[in-house]
Amino acid sequence: MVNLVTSDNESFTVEKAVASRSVLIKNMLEDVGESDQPIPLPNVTASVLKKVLEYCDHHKNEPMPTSEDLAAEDTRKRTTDIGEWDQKFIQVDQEMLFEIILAANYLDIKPLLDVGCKTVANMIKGKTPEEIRKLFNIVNDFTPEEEAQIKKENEWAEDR
Amino acid sequence: MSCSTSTLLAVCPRLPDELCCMVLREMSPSDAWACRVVCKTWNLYVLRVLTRSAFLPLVSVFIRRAESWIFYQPTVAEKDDEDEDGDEESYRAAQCYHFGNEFSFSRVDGAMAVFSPARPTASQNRELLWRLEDEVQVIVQFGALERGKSYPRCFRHIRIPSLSIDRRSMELSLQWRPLLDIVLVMPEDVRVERDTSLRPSILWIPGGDREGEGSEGEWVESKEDEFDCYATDSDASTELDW
Repeated sequence: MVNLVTSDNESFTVEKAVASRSVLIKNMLEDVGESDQPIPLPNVTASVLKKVLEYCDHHKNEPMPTSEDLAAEDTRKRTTDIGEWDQKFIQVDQEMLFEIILAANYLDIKPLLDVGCKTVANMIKGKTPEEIRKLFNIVNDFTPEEEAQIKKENEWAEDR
Repeated sequence: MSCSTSTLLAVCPRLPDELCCMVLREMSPSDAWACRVVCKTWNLYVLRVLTRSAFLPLVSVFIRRAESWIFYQPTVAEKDDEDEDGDEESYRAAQCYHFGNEFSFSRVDGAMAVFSPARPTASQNRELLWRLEDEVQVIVQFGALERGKSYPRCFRHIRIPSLSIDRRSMELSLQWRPLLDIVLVMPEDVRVERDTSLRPSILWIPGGDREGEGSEGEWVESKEDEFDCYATDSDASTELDW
């Protein structure tokens, strides 16, 4: 078993197979060897780690992504499909979604990071630029002329 | 491009730069292209990173003689209407146009994208040079990823901006940004309508120096019935498609 301590000082004791879904934790465990020392996770709160561990527990028996898998993604052989369980798992409010993405990035859990990013990508789909800005608290830093130019490019003209 | 941390954090305070970029990478090319209008950082990431690493490598350009018939094959949706039990994957594979004279993406050179012959053999190049003495049809294929399924889509009857051929290197050059403005913005019904027409409505007259660097060619409208389009077995072949 592995003992994880969150930024808000809460402890979670989990199976090694579950904790090792995180490449960060897996490497730490390999570095320290057999030890009862708790592993501090200063960038993850208890509420987020609980959710992340739920994901890791569900996927603990699946093979870890290989370097070939990661290389394939670079050639954009990726899919926007998200598994059924993952879809339900990731149905959280936007703040938690972003926290999960940040935690997955910090803990180096690539499949969870992919699920989070795909979910955000799906959230954006079909939304107007203004809705996207609002969703992500993004400031429109284009001049009116620049914005009009890109909008024009995004509109279909029959003479093309 | 490495996304500027300061700018991305400024516009997307909850997600660091590499994560915002990952989100854009997860979108379909059309959706990501449309998202350029959100802010400057997203615009730059799409133009400087995704275009080169993800979009242009999906583009192929085909040169066909003006009078070549284009075999129209029904879309998967149309096929499914006819045959509910059809094997979609094998049918989708059969959808691919097997044209010869393919130019695949090579590199970006400023505003221009450069495409090289996919099968650069001496005999192919000779035939291509001969073909380029006349007006030709130019077809763009985009291996888009849509709804999780990757399949090529053909774009016909489009005026590819600044298309030119360098007959010495056998490289095609074109302005990549307006090209993507066409293939990533064109409504699907317009694309299908153009893709399924029998005769070419727009032809390209390769311009310039026959011996060396190419200059921009000229686009002309094809007159009705100007070409007695015909099909031969070789038109559908993977090897010969003049």
